[in-house]
Amino acid sequence: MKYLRQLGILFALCTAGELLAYAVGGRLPGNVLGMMLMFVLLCTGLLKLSHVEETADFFLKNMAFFFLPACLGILELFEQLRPVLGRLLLVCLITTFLTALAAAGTVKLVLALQRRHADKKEVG
Amino acid sequence: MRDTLNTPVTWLALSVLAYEIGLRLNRKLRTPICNPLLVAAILMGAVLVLTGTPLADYNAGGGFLTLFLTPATVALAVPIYRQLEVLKKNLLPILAGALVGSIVSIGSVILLCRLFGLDDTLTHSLIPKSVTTPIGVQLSGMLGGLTPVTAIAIIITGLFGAVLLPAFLKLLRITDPVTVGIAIGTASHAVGTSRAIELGETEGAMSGLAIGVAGLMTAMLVSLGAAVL
Repeated sequence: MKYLRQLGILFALCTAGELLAYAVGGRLPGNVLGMMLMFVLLCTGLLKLSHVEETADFFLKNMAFFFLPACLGILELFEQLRPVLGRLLLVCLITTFLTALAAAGTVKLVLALQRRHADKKEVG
Repeated sequence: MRDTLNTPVTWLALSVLAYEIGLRLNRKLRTPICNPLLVAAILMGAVLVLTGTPLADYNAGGGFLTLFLTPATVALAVPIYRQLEVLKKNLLPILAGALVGSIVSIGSVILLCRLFGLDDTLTHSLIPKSVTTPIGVQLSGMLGGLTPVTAIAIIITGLFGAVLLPAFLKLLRITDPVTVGIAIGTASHAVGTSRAIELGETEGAMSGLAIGVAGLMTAMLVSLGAAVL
């Protein structure tokens, strides 16, 4: 019963997420809003980790498996994609480096600013 | 015999088997290139093509799996909550790194797609390619992209990140564990994170947090972009 109840809570959060998505005019995906809602409920203590933990971990651990049908959708698109395949891969490769570089540079800058701020406080 | 075997449950059983083979290969060969989902997709794809099974037949069972993607995404709140103390301690670097990383990811996809002459549908399919699959696929659908292209681009991005980013960052002398973790998680989600965990505990925790935060940032940026344009 425990796992079923946890699954029920997760499904209820999904529904709440969809309702929130409707409330914001569909501008944010329901699953993302459901995730934010669960995070807020956990932080406020209204929802305990024990209410969802095992079932949530099952999904997290096996997340990739549930994408198999989505990936197989490529079978119907393959002919259409064949001429652009190389370019698609190249976009993925280059943007991955650029994204990591931008994130790393920003973190470095923020950490340096924080350190300087902390030093100033100590001196002052 | 053929009709007896062509049932939704058969495809579900074979899907689990294909994924299991992928997991075992991944464990045995110990390389991120051997991604369990990629192996499973190639195996299942081969079975469908060789048996001449229409995708719709497979989806009679497969659709059942897709249904579980929403609760799986909601579950992403759990690891963030578990790392709440780490998140609070590094709130600013994580938020700023994930935000700027997401902006550059989206921006560079749009620019490169234009440069390479890829059409709008493909561009929209690639825009969310750095974030975790459930969020990325949903965003691609909202933008009118092709969700299978997004799903595969996300896995490939994860593989590039896991295989190449640790060496790339080292080459640039970026070694601070917080910085490395956030960069890998923002650029290459859970697949990259599996590699960041091997680099160290802080790298793994930061990368794990960056998955959810970058997903959220990208969702907001896409929603903002859609409202403005």
